[in-house]
Amino acid sequence: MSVTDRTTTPAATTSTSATPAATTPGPGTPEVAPQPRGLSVRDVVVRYDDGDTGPTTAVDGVCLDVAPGEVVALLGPSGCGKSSLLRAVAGLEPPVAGSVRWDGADLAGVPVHRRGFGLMFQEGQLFPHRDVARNVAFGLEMAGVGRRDRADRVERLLRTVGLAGYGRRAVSTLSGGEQQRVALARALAPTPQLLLLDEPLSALDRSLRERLAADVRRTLVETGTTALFVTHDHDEAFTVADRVAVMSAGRLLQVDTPARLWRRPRSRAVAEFLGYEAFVVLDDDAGADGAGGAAEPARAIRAALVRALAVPDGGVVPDGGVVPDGAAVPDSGAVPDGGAVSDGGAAAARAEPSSGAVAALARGALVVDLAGGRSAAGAHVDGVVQGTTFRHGRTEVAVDVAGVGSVTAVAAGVPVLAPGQRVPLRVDPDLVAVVPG
Amino acid sequence: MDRHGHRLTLAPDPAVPPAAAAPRSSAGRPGAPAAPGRPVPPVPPGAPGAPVAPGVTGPPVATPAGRGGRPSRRIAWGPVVGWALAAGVPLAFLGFFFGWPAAALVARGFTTDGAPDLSGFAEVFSRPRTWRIVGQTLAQATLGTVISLALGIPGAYVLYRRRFRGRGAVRAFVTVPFVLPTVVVGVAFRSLLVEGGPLAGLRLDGTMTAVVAALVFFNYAVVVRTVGGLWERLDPRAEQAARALGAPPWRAFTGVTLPALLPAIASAGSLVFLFCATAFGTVLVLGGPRLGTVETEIWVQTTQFLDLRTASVLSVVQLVIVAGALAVAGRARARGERALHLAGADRSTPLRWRTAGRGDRGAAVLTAGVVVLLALPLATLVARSLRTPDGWGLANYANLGTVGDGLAVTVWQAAGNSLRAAVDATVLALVVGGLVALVVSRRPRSRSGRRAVRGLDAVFMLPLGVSAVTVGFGILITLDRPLGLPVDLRTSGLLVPVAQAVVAVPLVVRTVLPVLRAVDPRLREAASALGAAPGRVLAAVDLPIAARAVGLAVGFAFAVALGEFGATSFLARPDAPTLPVVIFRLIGRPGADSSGMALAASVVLATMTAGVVALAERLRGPGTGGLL
Repeated sequence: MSVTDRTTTPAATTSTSATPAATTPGPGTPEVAPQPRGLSVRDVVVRYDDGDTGPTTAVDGVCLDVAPGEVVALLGPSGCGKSSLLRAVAGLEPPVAGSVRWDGADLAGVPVHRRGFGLMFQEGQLFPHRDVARNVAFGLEMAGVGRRDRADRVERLLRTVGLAGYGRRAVSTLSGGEQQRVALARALAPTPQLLLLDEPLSALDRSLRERLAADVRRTLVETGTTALFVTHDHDEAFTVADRVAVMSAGRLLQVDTPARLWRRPRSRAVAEFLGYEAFVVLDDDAGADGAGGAAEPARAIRAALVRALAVPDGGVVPDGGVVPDGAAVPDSGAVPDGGAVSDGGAAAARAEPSSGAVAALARGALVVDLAGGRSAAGAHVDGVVQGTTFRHGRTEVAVDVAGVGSVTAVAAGVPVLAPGQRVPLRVDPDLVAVVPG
Repeated sequence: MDRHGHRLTLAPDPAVPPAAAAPRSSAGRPGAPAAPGRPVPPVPPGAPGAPVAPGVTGPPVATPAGRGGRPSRRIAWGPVVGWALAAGVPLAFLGFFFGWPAAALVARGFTTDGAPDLSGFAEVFSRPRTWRIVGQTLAQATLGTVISLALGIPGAYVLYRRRFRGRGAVRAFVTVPFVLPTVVVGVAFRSLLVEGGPLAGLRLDGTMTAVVAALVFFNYAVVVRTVGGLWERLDPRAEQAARALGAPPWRAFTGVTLPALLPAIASAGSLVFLFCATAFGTVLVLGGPRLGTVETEIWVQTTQFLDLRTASVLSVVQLVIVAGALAVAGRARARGERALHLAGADRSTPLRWRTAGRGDRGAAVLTAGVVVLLALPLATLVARSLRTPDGWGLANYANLGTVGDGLAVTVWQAAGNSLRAAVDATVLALVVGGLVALVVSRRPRSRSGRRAVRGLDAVFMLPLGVSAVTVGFGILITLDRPLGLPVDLRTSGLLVPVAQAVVAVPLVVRTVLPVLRAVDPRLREAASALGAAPGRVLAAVDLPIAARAVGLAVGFAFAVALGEFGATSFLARPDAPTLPVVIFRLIGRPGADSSGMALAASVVLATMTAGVVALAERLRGPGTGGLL
């Protein structure tokens, strides 16, 4: 199911580092204070010197803020440097440049055990020689908390993570999910000012991961914990975080709320990482006419996309914004995230595409419309069926669309579609995003 | 994996005093559940780091960043001093009691009256006797290694890959010869082969066959346990896939299993070669006047001919042989430790004669035969110790309480000396070896740090191969007036445990190190993040996890010290000999009483050693890697 139009853009089209996002989300908060509360990462560079291969730069000038009580996800493919950034914040890797501050105070030289940051790993890393309760109690012991207070707090935390009564169990008897719950309780026990989670759910199987992600979110909110959550799974990031920072090759590409990120990926690299599978250049003049017949087939889909995107459809926008006519022009340079665009910024997401813009199509952005492909208006979009799979109660159809390539369309029910058959398609605007070209 | 390593050093910035590294507190936030935060440490008066962020939640104490956004780095002196001590103590100990004596020994071979002189080499190598000894050493070691591997690999299969009733007992029994003192092994084989012994008819007494048989007896367990340890955890599905692809059993074995085992086989082979090439007690007892190794020859030259120069030259030869074997062992070990990551659960399957294939049956029969052969010398030793000129009885044991012909002490007193020395040696070896394992298990961030750790690893492994005789002889010639001080350590009785500790340290390291290396660095990081200072991480994470291995190491170190003969034979004072020394003196004396006492004393020593190791074995959990 290859997408022909995928490989043309270089990975990162944005500048060195994403503009620092506003320190505090939500309406009504004041501008960036001179003494920002919470975590503030400025121009951090982490470099490894692994001997033979020479130094590799894992984190390359990243700026990021996490406000108190906020959960931020660091999202990126493996090897993009997100774990290194987390380790730099934790104090496990000294950054070669830049600063990590908490409430304005520089943490350089403050060792891990004095930072008061919690840490949770992929495989839990529970102490094998301690039972569940003594694992959870470890941080409290280090803080010199008395025996009775310790027991109380351990009991309370085990209840919070849904493991009441597990205190005396040996950690080796726990399932993977239970171990991660214990690890979460252990990390939360000493009330860390910031909790750092390094792919905490990645070793679990899919359904458990989805359930636990929601539980982690609930626990973090309940305990009012500030958290930085590293993951390579965008669904997980969207479930857990208030804001998501997309990272690639050591740099932040975009920092935004999940809804805005999905609606309005700032670059093609971000869109690709979020799972958008095909890209169509929307610019009408750019070559269709000039190139003559060759680009002709792309016209239909292009026109359909432009038409679909032009229809204001405020109700569906997650942020609830109503799209005004002729709203902000999508252009990466002009739209700093967080700051300039107001919180009703979904406007930008559904704005009319400018010249050079690219439409990003998610899975299901095209819908097989056997009833009437032509009924909408004018141009007729269709594709050639390559194969079908039945998933989640609907049929996913791999179709080859002229000018796009192979994309995954959906069809209601279980229609009989033979490979090679030509089917009419319509566009579901909710699954199309506009990306600057 | 280096990325998760422990940080040994920070970029130094002398401009900032260490006091600037003021800790900051973790204060609770409003809205956070009421929980005890970490105690707020006092702000050092006048420290550059004044509180910068006044707030409702308590003042975090920290220092301002350096100008221009460049973070200032400070040296955390605590860890630096701690690690320097941890590396320095063993370096000093091994340097003084091993490096210096060995160097002095080498120097003596290359100089005459302080001037460089290589004539000693020319002279020693012009003697046919030298070439005979070197040839015998290499021939015995090669034969011993090949036969040990040929018998040990099937043994590893049967004892670690298949399951049958009594397997645990057989595994434990197979280990017994390895921990037996070399002198005991020599005495046991002699009791088998001399006139009146069950195998006297073979006329093997004093032949190379007898020596090689004793070496194999001694080293069979090394092969079985090293190869078995890996084989046990090898995923059988690779071989099953080969079978499914049409490979007959032998092709699946040679094409899939054997290559996977090669690191362990190479590691075991080079170790066995090392042990055979440095064999001393066994060869001295069994070889008689015609057979020897470089090791025994050094002893003969020193104690019989008083030719220290020849002994020094031979020590250099021995060092070369050992360094070669060590280099091979080191490379094999590095590969073996990587291979350990394949480890999984116990994969052994039941062994049933009816359903077993030809290969299985052959391996089972071979292993059963080896077990019987291993038992033979031990059974003979016990049986003959009960035989007196007047028939069966305990007279030999009764004699142990008497000061025998020409002995300064009773055997029981010697046993007491051995135990006391072994306790001291074990404590020394544990401290030194434990620190070595701790330091070498770390993966520092900086490249120079990693290089330093690799260097230390190599340095600390040297005594593993250097012969006990060289250690004893070297200490003997250097520590009469150590550092010009007017004390003769040789008469203090202190050197015996020290030399035994030098011999035991590598064993401690090889037992503890793999366990410490296997500790996931993130476990330590998790503890750190929960507020544990470096010292507490060590106490709360490393120590409990390594506890079993440390217990095992104590047992091995104690057993090695009890049975140590090569170095002790040089250093034990005549009025305070250890048990192995007494046994050796007894077998050198004519008369039925003496040889009877030697047999009984050997049984006593063997029982002590085996008892200690059996105790330590109980501490050994499943899945701990390492040499043994």
